[in-house]
Amino acid sequence: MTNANTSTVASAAEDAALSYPSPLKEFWQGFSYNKGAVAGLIFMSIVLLCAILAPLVAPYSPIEQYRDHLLTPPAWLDGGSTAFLLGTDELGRDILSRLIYGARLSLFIGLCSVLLALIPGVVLGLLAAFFPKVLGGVIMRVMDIMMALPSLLLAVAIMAILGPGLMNAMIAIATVSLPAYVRLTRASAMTELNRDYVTASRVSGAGLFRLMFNTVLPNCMAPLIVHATMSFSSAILEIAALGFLGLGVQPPTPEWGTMLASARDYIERAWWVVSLPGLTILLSVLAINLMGDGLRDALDPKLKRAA
Amino acid sequence: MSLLEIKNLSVEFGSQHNPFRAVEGLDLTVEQGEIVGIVGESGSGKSVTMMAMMGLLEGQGRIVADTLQFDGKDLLTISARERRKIVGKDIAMIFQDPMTSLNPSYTVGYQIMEVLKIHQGLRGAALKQRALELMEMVEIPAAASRLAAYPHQLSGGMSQRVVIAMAIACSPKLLIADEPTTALDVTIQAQIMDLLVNLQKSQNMALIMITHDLAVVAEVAHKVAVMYAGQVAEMAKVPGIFRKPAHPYTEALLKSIPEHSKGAHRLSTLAGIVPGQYDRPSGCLLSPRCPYVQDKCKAQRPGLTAIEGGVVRCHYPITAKEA
Repeated sequence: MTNANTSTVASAAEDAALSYPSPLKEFWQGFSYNKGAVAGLIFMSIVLLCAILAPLVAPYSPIEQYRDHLLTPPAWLDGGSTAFLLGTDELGRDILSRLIYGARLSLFIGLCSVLLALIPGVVLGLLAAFFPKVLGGVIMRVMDIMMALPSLLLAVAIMAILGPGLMNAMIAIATVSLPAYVRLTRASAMTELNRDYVTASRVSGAGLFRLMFNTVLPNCMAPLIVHATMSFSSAILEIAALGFLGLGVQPPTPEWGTMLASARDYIERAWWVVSLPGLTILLSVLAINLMGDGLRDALDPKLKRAA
Repeated sequence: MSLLEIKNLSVEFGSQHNPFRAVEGLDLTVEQGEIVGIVGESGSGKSVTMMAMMGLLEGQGRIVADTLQFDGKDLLTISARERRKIVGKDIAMIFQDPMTSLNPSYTVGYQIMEVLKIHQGLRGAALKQRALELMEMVEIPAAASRLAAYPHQLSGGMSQRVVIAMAIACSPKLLIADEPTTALDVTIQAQIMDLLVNLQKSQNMALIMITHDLAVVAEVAHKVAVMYAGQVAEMAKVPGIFRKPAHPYTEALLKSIPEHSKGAHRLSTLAGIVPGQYDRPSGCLLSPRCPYVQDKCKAQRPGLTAIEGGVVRCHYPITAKEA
């Protein structure tokens, strides 16, 4: 092409111009464009920090009962005291402390049930996409059957078989949300399978596992991540629902749904005992959903291509 | 012995009772360091032949052949594991659309190095060095910083160069280029073709070039196979096939190139389309479209006849005519 001297100069200049934005930076640009998502992220970070640092942040132990202060209203109402910022419940336990400790459990349950659904869901979905004839058909029909049942009913049925408890509640919720992951993975894997780069990696001798997990899976991740965030919030809701029905976490362990359930008798006398856990669930779910929207904006491959 | 030897290869799709023959009785030999062009209309079985050879049609098509040998190994009987070793290392392939033939999730550097890591066992600094060498070999400017680029950050021509770099990474004995320039614009096409031919010479690879572009084939290929509806219509040496086409279809293809009919008002075309699954004539497959059709052509399928410098599938090959 050109002589050696100019080409080194030119390539040095080009090198400087060619500093590609890192994927992380690109992602953050897309994500921070959505203000609601950033707000959700900030809220969830606070909740997460509180959950991790619960013993330091919470003013009292979540199971300590202050018998002299039953159903104390929050601090800003008549009869409230600054000792109990958000008031106390029917057994005199500090609601703020219970909410902070409850965040631990609720987030943990959300994360675990998402992972319990995501990992088998991805594997089954990939298998269904790679072997569409027999195995794929069987997997998808089973998923169809699971989707045909109302999700809460199915979860309750599973709980009835396994018995109440934290682990069983997570398994029940994961099972209920499994079909969505399988369908999603299969659909995006099937579109990716027809692309040339999959054939190209077959031509260069890639085996089945490499094709499934190294070649195809990373390209199906964007919708899966978004769906996982969304179902994180629905897992929190479902565990709250199971807790409300008395099937989830057993008292006195603080958990948002269980708190709601045990306080429902006092809704007329002491609205804060019910409303505050309810509000916490509402805000967390909203924040996570907003984050999910932001993730979709940032990870959508079509928007990325256009950039 | 030839590098690649295919004898009587047929590929069928669809059910047993109602099969569709995408490739029928194909013979092809490729010597080391030879450039073979395969030309034909869309759907004439060019790509399917290559896919069948590399075992990419498993579970989709039925492959039957008398011989399917690469470098002395029988590709029909070896296990999938064995074939994967050969296919990645000694046979490489370049695809039509460079924008989809790179994995969008990984940097190009990662993708080149993955090939080197697995097939050549390179590690660490040597790996990076070799990847850089390959990027420079395919004339990518600022190669070092482009190793960190994702495919969507590169232009089509640049992506195709990366694809070529990946294909020649293991110094394959046979490179298959499936319409390597179709998706690129004309100036880049010429550069990519030059690059491919230069690499072919310096690495002494055999190169199979699948293309619509007769001009490209005329310039670089040693031998050309013209395919029509899954069959080889004519296979002969260059430039003989362009000077004296023996098959009416080859002749028609050449006539439809604008440069060949200067001064004429309309380009000459061959009426009709390639017969599909259900409308294959019982005689010669070209008979409904052939300008020289005879009664015998309609009744009987022609076999391959030897002509000067090649073979032709026609009852009445065009002989000694002014081209």
